[in-house]
Amino acid sequence: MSKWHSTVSRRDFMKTIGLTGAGIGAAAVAAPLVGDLTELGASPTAGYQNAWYVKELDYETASVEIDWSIFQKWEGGTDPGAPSGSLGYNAPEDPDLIDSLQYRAGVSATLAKIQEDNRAANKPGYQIRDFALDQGSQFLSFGRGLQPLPFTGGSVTTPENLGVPRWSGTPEEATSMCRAAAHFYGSAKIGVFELTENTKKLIGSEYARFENVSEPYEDGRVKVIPNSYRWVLVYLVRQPVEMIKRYPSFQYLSHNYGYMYGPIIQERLRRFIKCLGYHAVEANQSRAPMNVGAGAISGIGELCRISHQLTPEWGPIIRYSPALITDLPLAPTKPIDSGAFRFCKDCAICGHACNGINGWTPINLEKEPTWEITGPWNRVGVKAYQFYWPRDYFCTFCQSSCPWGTHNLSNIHEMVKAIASYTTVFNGFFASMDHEFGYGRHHTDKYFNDWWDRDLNTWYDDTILH
Amino acid sequence: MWTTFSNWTVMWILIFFALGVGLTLLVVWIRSRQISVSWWEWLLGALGLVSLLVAVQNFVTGFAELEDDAAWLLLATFGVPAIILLAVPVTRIWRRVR
Repeated sequence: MSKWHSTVSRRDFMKTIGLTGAGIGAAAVAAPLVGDLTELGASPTAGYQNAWYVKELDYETASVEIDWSIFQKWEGGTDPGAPSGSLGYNAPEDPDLIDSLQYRAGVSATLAKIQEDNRAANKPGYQIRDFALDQGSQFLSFGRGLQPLPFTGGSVTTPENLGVPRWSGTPEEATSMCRAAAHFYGSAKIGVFELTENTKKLIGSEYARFENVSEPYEDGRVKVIPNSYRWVLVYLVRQPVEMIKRYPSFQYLSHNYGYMYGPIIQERLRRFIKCLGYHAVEANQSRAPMNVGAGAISGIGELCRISHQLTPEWGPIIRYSPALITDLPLAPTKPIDSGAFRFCKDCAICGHACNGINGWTPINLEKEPTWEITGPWNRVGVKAYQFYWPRDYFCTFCQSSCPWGTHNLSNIHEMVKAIASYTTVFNGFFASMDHEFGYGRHHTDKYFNDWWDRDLNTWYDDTILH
Repeated sequence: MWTTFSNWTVMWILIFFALGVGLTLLVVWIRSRQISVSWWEWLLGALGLVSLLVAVQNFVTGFAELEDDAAWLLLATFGVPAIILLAVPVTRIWRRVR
């Protein structure tokens, strides 16, 4: 007879089975109840849910204060991204502006010398293979190499050509459908807002205007869009997280990735919408509407201290969020508040990193945001950390320093974000710890060399959909 | 991406399987020896276990994020409290067993 016997009684065993079954049942009940898949697909957020700690706000608001009554659109020459010569600002009478532009030129020269010296010394990150990687990644960036298309897009086969009715459904179904298509085309997240008297101010008059016409047309540089095109489909174009952190080495490649995908995703989406039997136009890839404002209004991200868009998922390490203006009825998506803008108040790592490298940061380091603009390159009507654009070198040291711009593998990031979304008490502590724990840029020879030996079976950051 | 997903998933499946087996054996052993464990000892043990799991997760993924310094610091940040939290109920139970 076997001497072995179980110490678990039959009663205990059945109790365990019962508890396990009850647990599974409780989990099933706790899950969101949906009548059927149609009901699930009918939600404007169907297919993509923000993290549980991200709150939704009312339409035409944002996590920053907006005063639509004084909010102004860009009027020719004040585009902050434009070369300094077209700022429309009387430079000879503004010594600060002259000093800033000269300073920016000096920074540019300093960083170029660093690149040249390191290239001559054959340092990792500046070697011929790194330079070749950079050159290869520039193909199709900003659409270079692609066939030019009118702002209405290329020709497609329409339902009319096929002798079938155009697609019809609820606006919620349309938004969900566009989200699913956009993801396949390369956009990780979309947002939608409706064009109203307020939101039309996001579109500069030098890029587009709206008229009671049946077809869009171009009036010189200005795109004329029919009033019937009432919805704006904003699509996020991401960029690899790791490669944004490697400037000024030649491994700084994320921007090329983003600007390559932007025009491609745009035309894919535009063809998709046109093939459904509707129309979609772009007025300017990133300026009309201004992509940061469009993203904030449509719930893709929030405005942050560096005047970029900061997403809860990837921080500010996204490339941009351009948009298509369409007559396909879409359900708007709500703006969000994930605590990011409130975190900026106690953080400012971006500005200090910029100061540490460039010496005279254009980033506002004040604790509180302000309505007071620094020049015509700032938007009137937004209480923000007003950015001094003439001094900006577009180097992305700020993006790569942000505590929210991390790879999303370690759960400490989600813990911090979740806590920050509910209380600001620990924000200063979290910002300090981000610095103390060494997050950010690590420009060592090993760092640059290891990229070439990364494990391609597990490396996830060479795509923008993950 | 699927390889990454499957690697992490396999690792966590194994960890939780081992945890499930270990916890079951622990409960069986406590009952067989008729050891009295108070509710707060269970609570400390649970918190210590959670802290240990967080330490392991952040340590492993910190290297995957190319943040080596952060990986070690997070291991210490969550690992040391885990050891302390687990040590209290373990030592108390150990003394009772002896």
